[in-house]
Amino acid sequence: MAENREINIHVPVLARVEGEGALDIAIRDGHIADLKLRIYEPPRLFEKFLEGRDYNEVPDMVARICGICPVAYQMSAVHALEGIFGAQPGSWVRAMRRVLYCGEWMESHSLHIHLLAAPDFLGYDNAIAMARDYPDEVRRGLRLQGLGNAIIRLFGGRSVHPVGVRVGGFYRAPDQQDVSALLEKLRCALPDAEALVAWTASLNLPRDDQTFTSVALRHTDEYPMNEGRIVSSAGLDIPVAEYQHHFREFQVPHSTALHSLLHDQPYLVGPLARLNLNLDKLPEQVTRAVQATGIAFPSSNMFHSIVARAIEVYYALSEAVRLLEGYEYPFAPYVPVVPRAGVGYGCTEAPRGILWHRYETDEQGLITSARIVPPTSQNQARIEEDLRRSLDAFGLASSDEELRRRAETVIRNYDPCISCATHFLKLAVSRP
Amino acid sequence: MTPIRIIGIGSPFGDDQLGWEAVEAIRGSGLLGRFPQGLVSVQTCDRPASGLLMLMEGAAHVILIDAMRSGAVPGTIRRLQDEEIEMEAALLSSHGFGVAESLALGGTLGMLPARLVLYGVEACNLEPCDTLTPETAGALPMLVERIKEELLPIIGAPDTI
Repeated sequence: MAENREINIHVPVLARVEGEGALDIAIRDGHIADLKLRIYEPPRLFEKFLEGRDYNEVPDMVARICGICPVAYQMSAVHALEGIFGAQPGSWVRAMRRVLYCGEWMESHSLHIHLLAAPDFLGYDNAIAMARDYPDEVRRGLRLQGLGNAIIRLFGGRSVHPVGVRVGGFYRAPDQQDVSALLEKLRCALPDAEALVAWTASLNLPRDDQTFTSVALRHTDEYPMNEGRIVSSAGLDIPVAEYQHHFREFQVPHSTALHSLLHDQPYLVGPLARLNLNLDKLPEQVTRAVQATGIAFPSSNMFHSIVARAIEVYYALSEAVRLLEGYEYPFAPYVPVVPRAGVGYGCTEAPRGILWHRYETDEQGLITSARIVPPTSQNQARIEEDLRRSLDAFGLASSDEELRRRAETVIRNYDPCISCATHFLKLAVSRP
Repeated sequence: MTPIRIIGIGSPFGDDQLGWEAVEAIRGSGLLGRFPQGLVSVQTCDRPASGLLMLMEGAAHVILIDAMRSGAVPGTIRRLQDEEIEMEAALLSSHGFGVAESLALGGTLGMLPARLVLYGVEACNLEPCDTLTPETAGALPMLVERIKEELLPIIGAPDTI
């Protein structure tokens, strides 16, 4: 049946701020004639707020960009600024930054798996409905999320913003007593995290193999978080500072967000891309859990993202335990830095994928320009590509409601920043 | 973890910082010092509020403070308790996870405190990096007063500081 219709799906985009995101699909003669995803992007606004600020203010300011991944914004920023100032914070700071990042991965991934993605795959409208039938699984998810948050609070003042991070290290070191108490709780949760991997792998995930390029950091010694080179499944292998030579950002007319392309092609960042490119860096017990899923990673099924997230929760928990087991109260929790003029780059693995920052400072350490490329904008072209393909394969003759649900599932699978919104996904259909 | 907890929910977007500012105002008011140690604590919570349930875990009495948008005059304070909250905040959506969703989930899982109170303050400006508008900030002293009136009788203290 030849059918002409336009579907407009409003996607909530930012906590408590309504009406900025949407998906518009135009179907003509049974084909997708046009598909536009609009995602509102707060990081862009923050770039200009950073100009003229002292370098010391940057970690606090960028932590405010995202309620779910403040640590990621802080980490990319401090690495970039330390690069300019030639600061070497040393092994204690390096290890503790990694612990902090483990907390954020656990918190963000657990939230996404249980409260946002799993209901899609188990056939529920939302997590509340799902929790009636899966109370133990949801409670387990909340516990893992809570432990992630507890790790972050170990290093911070207020629980919501890990303000304990500064250029050069941390404002204060956690007490041995607090570390020991938390470490015990983390150890006890290891079986929970292992079970989570098996549970996500047992979900009835759609089979949908696609061709895409994965992009992530890669480090010689470890699963990437704070450091490494930017690599791709297509053979890219560059230092962080060369990002701009290979990745191009551009404004599309339908969105306030910038789209990113690698050598003019869409690409994937985030847990599945990271896992696909760094499988050999997982420790033995996590590798065993991956093998037990029966899924052959690297995977080209985008819906394996939820399993990749669970694997990273297990990894992050194991890594935090490993690092905190060797905890020693430091002589100083930071190294002093001396500001100077220059340009610096930072790229770290936010829960949703690589987060790239570039800063320019003057001699006093004031920020003269800031650039922030968040993972969601990098995935945007890939999400559009996926939607075109997935909805076509799903069947465009489906009802608006069915298409909306499928589109939401596809978008949500990428865990875009819009996940933290509190508002409705609204659907308005106009038939020409 | 104290049996009575005050949790300010917010984001750095203009009046949405109300919950955080209220927590600061309560800290600065001397109210907490009136209670025996270990009875009352204050905390803040950021988007998307899914961490709320763990922040409330084990508490008997929780007071939540949040900015709201209901069409009322900016700065208007509303107090909701227990079932009222769920009824008023019945904005269940499969697509985000906010305060209403967290509380509904807590209800389903039996994780809510015996007594749950929500103070909402009407917001008007939600621009990034803006500070509170005078209308919303102006409600803070009254809000602290209301919370004081609510909590001090628990220890049989007169509501003056």
